[in-house]
Amino acid sequence: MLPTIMITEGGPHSAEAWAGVTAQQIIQVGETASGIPGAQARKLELRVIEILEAAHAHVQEHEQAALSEHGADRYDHPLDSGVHIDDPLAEIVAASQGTAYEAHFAKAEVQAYIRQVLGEHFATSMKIERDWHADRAVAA
Amino acid sequence: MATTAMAVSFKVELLSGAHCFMATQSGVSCAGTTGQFALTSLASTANLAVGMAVTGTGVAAGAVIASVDSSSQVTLSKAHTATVSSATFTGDVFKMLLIKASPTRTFDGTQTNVGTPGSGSPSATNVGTDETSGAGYTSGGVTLANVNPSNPSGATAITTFSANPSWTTASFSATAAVIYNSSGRLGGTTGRAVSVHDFGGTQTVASGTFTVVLPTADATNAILRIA
Repeated sequence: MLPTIMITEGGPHSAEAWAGVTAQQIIQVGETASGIPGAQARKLELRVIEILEAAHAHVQEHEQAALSEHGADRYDHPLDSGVHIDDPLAEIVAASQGTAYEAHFAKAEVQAYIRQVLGEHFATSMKIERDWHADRAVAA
Repeated sequence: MATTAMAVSFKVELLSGAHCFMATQSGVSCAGTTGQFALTSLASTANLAVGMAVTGTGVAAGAVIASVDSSSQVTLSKAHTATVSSATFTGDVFKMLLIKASPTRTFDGTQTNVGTPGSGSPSATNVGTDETSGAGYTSGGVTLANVNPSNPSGATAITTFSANPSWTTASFSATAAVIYNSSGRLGGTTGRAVSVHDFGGTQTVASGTFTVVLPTADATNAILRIA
């Protein structure tokens, strides 16, 4: 599988861009998915993207606020992406309820996997905010 | 050009115990006495391996784990310089560098070392001038954060890295990435190639952010897998 390359001109990746990439690693709808399960899968995928866009935006805003408060000291703080995971995870699980995929998203191992993906992507987003902050400080 | 592949030399080195992908454990509570080599009272040594670098107040510079003695004790390679109450254990340092557009050689599983990135003729032992360059890119690439290897399902073992590699205020083009070990675990040789990852075409960023999003960390897709 090829790595996914994200490219954004002029600044960090948008929450919308992140949402699409993160969703791809959480839910994949086959091209031939059909009938009620197929429709539910596509609706669920869109709902997951909505949830993730809001979550990524929150992560970015939180990191920007922390950078405003702490300045360059923030670069040495741990990338504690874990604090941002519980709410979007709960929303994703809730979105799956009443669909053909409720049992899948209720599994502990599936939720652990989602935690890992969210943690990695949120941490990356936080680091990118810090790097841009540092870059702009040098340029100023 | 590039072909996604695990370096053949890496496979041999792995069987020789020459790569440690263990995740960093920071601020681990332990006990060490000045002049002694042992660290005792560890809660667990499950994810510690011989050769991992050890740092902390009272730990001698350059110390590594010489032996894992029990579930609560390790012995270091150098005597403590002062009382030790906590320590950080670090596996090998892996990095990802990028290959430029239209490289002169094909990067694949025959790559054994990254050599001197940015300098010299490209070969199986040197990425050389086939490394990408441009604003926001530092030769040698970026450091990856280890994640403990695991067996997510079936008979496949995997490892991945946390926090996907990214470059900011970046202006460059790249066609592939090479993951390599910058630590000198085997014979002191650094830069040993781990794997090559083709991007499927030239990827160009201009004054922006370039991120390599590592694939799903499962038995089918993880960036590094052994079946």
